[in-house]
Amino acid sequence: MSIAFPSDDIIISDANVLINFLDSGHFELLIKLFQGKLHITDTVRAEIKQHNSELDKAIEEGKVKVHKVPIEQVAHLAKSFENFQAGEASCFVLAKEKGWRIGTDDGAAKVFIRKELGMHYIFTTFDVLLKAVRLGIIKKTEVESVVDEMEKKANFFYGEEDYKKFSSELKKS
Amino acid sequence: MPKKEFNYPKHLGERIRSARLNLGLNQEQLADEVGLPRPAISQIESGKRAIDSMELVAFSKALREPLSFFLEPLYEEGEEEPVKVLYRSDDISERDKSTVDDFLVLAKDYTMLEKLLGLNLSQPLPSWGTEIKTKWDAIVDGQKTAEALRGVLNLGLAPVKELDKVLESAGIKVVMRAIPDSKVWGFSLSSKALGHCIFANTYCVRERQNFTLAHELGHLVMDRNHSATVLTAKEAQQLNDDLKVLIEIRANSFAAAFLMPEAAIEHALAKLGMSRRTTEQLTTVTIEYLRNHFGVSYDAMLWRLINLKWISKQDRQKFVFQLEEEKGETASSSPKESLPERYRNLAFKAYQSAKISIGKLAELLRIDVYEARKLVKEFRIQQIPA
Repeated sequence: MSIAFPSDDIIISDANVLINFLDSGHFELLIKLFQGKLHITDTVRAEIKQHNSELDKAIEEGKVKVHKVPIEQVAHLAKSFENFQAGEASCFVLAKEKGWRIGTDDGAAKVFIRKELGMHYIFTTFDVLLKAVRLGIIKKTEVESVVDEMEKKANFFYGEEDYKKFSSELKKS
Repeated sequence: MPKKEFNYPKHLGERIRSARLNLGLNQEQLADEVGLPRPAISQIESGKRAIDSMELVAFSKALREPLSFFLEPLYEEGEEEPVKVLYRSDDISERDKSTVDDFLVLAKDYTMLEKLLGLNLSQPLPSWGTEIKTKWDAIVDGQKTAEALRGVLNLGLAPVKELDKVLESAGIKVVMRAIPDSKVWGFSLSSKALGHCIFANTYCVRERQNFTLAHELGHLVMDRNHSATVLTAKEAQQLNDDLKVLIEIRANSFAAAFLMPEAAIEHALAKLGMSRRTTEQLTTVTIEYLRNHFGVSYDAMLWRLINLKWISKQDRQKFVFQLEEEKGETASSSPKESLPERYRNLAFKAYQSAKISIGKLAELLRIDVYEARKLVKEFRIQQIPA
């Protein structure tokens, strides 16, 4: 049996990963890393819209691509994925259809993605930072302050185990 | 026969209007909230203008309702009877219907959380009502059931000033919201899908809210095949004149005995050095003391004392001037001031055990994802998959 791996450089993000980078002032990092291959759905955009105009600018410039989800599909998602918000569910559906990774830090989303798509489809905020270090977009020494700003400015709250794993990966990179 | 096409613009328009009315907003205010011109709101509500997903999320946020409120039917086929009874009640006005809509979605979310967490509380109360043929039967049955239920809930003779919390911990879904200028004091619903649910209008004084909860609790416990009942100011008025049906008399008798047990009144009066031999010592001050002690209205306390023959109906006149002062009282909570405490706890528990996402948590708490993130961080809730 072969395992299907998602496309390595395209990500469809839920609201939380976006908020971490937008509200901490490090959105540019996410843009640089994915170079036009960062996707969101319009329901996710609507979650962010009232709080941040930087996202609109990135959309206008084609750095973030927005996928329209018809109302009928939102209704279907709301019914089929009752443990998730429709914006999150729309990410799962698109990821499966296109073979993209899903940018999420959420525990319930991770459980679902692992079961339905496979663990390789999960791409967390910490994964973004590790990849950015590996590609030389930020320095290893800067990462701690980025996480700190995400905590303070964006209310990023992560599990202790996740952080331990991240720190250990960071040391290796 | 081909299946009838679901008319989304019309359905969404109706839901948006209902949620707007429930929040007490006019079209202009809603237009400002969602960033659309006022005529667009009018067109959307009448189903003449479609909305896209982004606008829907904006409406959901502004009206503090989950997406499911706008997109799904409020009740499923086969589960609709109790809900229909509620909607068809003459006592439910157009404005009140928007509150019923909101109540139903919350009850559905509540049930979903219970199921997700493996809590089987769909019918948490015993069914105790007996057949009643006379007014006397109704009064006695109400009193006996109240005593028995206090025993089951381990309440002893203590006053129950916050009945909503007692009922919540017994697994009954209690929703408390303000419906200003409504004659509805409360309503209840029993359904296989939603279990036992009670709504109390918090625009009434706290004491009246307690009595409403107890009255509806009486219906849930004693009415055979209870589906839905509504308690209004009009009904209470009629009851005082003995014009209401037996079943309502029984629910009132239950409420009075549940909130003001006879033995507890005697005990409280004994502490003031009073007994049945010294009833002439009862004054408005004593009644005020008792009503505070039991967390009921002055009027309810007075009627309880009359029914227990501590005072006569004729004596009522000398105590009645106090009632005038109560007429102007209203509580101050806004339509969506709070969600049931148990519901909030279940939502956080489901989030913690990774059974729901942060986005769903936000929806269930009727807040946006930013506020949900703030709360999760503040309470330091780490998700640990079960």
